[in-house]
Amino acid sequence: MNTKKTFGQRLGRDMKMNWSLYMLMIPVVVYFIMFCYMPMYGIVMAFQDYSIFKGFSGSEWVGFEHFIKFFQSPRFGELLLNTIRISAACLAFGFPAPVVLALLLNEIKSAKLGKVIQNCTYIPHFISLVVACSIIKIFTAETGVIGSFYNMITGSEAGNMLNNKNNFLPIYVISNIWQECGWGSIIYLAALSGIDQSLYEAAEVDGAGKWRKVISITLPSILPTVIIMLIMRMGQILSVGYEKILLLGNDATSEVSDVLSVYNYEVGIKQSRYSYSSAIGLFNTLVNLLFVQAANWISRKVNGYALW
Amino acid sequence: MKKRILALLCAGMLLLSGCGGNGGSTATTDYDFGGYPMQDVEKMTYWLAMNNNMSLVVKNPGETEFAKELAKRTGVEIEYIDPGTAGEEDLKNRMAAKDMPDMVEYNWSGFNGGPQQNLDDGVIIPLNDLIEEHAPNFKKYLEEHPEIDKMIKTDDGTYYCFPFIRGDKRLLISTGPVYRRDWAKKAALDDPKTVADIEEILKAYKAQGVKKPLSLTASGISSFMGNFGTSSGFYYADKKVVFGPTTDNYKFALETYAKWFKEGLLDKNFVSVDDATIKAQVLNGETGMAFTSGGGGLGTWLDTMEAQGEPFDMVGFTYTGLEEGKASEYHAFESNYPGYGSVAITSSCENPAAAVRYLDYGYSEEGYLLYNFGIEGVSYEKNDAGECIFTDLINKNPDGWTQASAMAYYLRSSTQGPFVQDKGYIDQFYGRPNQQDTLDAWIADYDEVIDSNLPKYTFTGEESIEYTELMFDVNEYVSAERVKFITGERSFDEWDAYVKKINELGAEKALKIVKAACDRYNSK
Repeated sequence: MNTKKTFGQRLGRDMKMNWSLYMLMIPVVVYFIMFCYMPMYGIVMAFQDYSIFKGFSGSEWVGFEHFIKFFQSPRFGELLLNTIRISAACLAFGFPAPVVLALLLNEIKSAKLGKVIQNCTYIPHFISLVVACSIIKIFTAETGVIGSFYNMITGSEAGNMLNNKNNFLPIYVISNIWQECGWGSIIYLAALSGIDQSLYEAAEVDGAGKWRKVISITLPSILPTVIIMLIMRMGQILSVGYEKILLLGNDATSEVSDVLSVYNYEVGIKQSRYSYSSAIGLFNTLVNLLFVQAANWISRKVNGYALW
Repeated sequence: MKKRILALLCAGMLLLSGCGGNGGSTATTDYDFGGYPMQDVEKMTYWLAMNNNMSLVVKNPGETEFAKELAKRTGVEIEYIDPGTAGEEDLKNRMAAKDMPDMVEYNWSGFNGGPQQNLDDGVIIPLNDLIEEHAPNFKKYLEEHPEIDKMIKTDDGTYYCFPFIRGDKRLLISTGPVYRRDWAKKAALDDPKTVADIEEILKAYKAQGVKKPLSLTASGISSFMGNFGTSSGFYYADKKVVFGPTTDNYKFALETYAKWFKEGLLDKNFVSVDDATIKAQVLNGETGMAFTSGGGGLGTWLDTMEAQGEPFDMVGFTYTGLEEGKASEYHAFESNYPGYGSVAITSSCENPAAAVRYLDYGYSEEGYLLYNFGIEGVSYEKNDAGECIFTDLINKNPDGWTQASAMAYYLRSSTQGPFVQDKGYIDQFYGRPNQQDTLDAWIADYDEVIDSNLPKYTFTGEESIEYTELMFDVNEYVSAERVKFITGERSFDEWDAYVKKINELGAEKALKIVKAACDRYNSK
C-alpha cells in the first residue's frame, strides 16, 4: 500500500529492471565526469594567484582581482568589439549559407550530380586549418590568383591582400563559408529528407509552383532544425578561434583581428599567466551562456521552438 | 583492524619518503668524489630539449656519441628526458606534478618568473656551497672571469645554474644585414657606411631591374634598425636606459622606411612575408638586401647558388652609423651568458653534490674539448698549431648527415650546454669566405657598440610578472603602429600622440623596472 516511494527507492527499482541500459550509460557518465566536471575545479584558478608549484591549495586567494584587471585593461574594449564583429559577420553570412546550400542540393534531381556536388563541398572541411590558411595566403598574395585579380580590379598597389586590414574580415568570413558550408548542410539535408512527400504532391494538385513549395512546405518543415542550430550557434558568440586568426593575421591586421581567444592564448599559454587567462576564459563562457539562454528564451516566446 | 594499521603504516612511509626527497639539498657534506670517472653514483635524470639537427639523427639525446662518451668519462649514467614538441609545457607539467628530473637544461634566466622566483618557490636549489665544495673547475673559471661571474648570479649573489657561456666575441652575433656585393660593385659602390649609402645601393639595385631591392620580415624590420642606431627594445643611450620606439633614432628609421616603401625600395609585403619567401626572393634575384643569419640563412643561400652555378656574392655589412666615420649607436649583441642551455639542479635531486660534480666536468680542460669538439681522433684532430680541426666525419659525413647534424651527434658547441663555447666552432662552421667576411663585418664595431647593450640583469618574481604584463600591450601597439607609419596610413605629425600612448600603455613603468634591475646589476 506504500505508493509513495523515495527517489532512491524508485531509482533502485528502475536500475534492477533496466540494468543493461544503465550499464550502457556508464561510459558516457564517466566521460562527462572526467573531462567536463572534474576540470571545472580549475575555475578556482581565476580567483587565485595560481602558481603551478604551489598548486591549488597553496596559492593565494585574490577574489575578482583578475576580472577587474581585465575589464580595466586598455585592450578590453577593442578585443571585445573585434570578437563580436567577426562573430556577427560569421553568423550573418556563414549561418544561412548551409541552409541555402541544402535547399539547392535538394532541388537537384540527378542523384549522381547531387552526390558529386555534395562531396566537393565537404572536402574543404577535412583540410587541416594550417593548410587551408596557407592556401588562402598564397591565393590572396600579390602573385596569387585572387590577389592579382583583386589588385587588377581595384587598382590597389598594396601588394598582398592581407596587407590591408579592411580585407581581413571578408577573407575570414568567405573562407569560413568555403570550408564549412558543405559540412554544415548535412544536418539540413537530413531534415529535408524527413519531409512527407505527400505534402508536395498535395501542393502540386493545388497548383503550387516551385517557389511556393519552398516557402510554404520546405522552410517551415526544417525550421525547428534551423532554430536549434541557431541557438547552439549563439553559444559560441564569443568563441572565435585563435588558430585561424594567428595563421592569417599579421601586424597590419592586428587592429581588427585580435580577438579574445588570441589574447587569452598569448597571456595564458605564452606568458603562463594562468589565473588571468582563466578569468578571461570564464568571462567568455559566461557571456556565451547568457547568449544561449537569451536565444532560447526568445525563440520560445516568438515561435514556440526551444531547446529546453 | 589489521588493514587499518597497514594503511597507516603505508601513509607514514609515504610521508617519510616525501620528506627525504625535500631534505636532499642539505645532505651535501662529507662527500669526496676525487677525480673522474666518479664512483658509485646512481643514475640521474637530465631534461634536455633536442634541437632539430639532433632529432634528425637520434630519438633521444642519450643515443648520441657525445652522451655516451660523457657518461664513460664522468662515470655518471644519465637518463635523458626529451620533451619533444611539448617543450616548455612539459617542464611546467612536471613542475605541477612535482615530478622534476634531477637536472634541467633550459633558459632559467627567463623561465617562470626568473631565477629568483624559482629559487624562492623551491623549484631549483641554490648552488653556492655546492660549487665551493664540489666544482673546482667551474670555480676556477669564475675566478678568472669576474665579469661572467657577475652575470650568472642573482642580485643577492646566489648561483642558480651551470651556465652556457659564449667564450669569444665572435660568438656573440649570428644575425645581421647582408647585401649583394657584386651588384653594388657594378654600380661602383662600396660597403655602406651611412644610411644614405644604403639608400644609394638600393637605388642602384632598382636601376638594375631588381624588383624588391630590400626585403625584410616584420621582425627583420626591427632588427635592421641597428643601422639607424635603435631597436624595438630597451638599451642605453648616453648612459641612460631608453625604450627604442620612443626615440628620435627610431622615428628617423620609420621615416626612412616610409620613404623607401613609397619609392618601391622596400618590399611592400613586409608585414606578411616570412623567411622562406625572402629566401626565394634572394635566390631568384628579386632582392639584393636582407636581414638574415650567417649559418642557416646566408650559408644555405650560398650553398644553393653555388650548386646552381650562378654568380652570387652576398655578404654582410657592419651596421651603419648615423654619420660617416661613426659606429652605430645601438644594435644588439648576445650576452656572453645568453641564459639558455644552462643547467639548474632541482629540489627533486637526491644527490645534488654528485650532480654538481658531474656538471663541473664541462668546465674542465678535457670537458672543454669534449663539449666543443667531441672526441680526439674521431670528430677532431689537433693540427701543428694546436688548433682543433673537425674531421670529415663532421664536415663530409659518410652517412650523408648535414654538418649541423653531425655536430649535434658528436659535440655540443653547435648548440648549447653547461660549458664554455670555443670560437673554433664558428670559424669552422662558417666554412665559406663570404661567411667569414660577414662575421668579421658584423662584429667589427663590437667595442664601440657594446656599451649601449644592457647588462644581463635579472628581475625579481614580481617585477617579471609586471614587466611581462606591461610590455605585452606595449609591444602589440608598437608593432601595429610601426606598420601604419611605414605604409603612410599614419602621419608623422602624430608622433607625439604615439609616444604618449606608448607611455600610457605602460612603457614608462616598464622602463623604471628595467632601470632598477640594471642599477642593481651594476652595483653588484
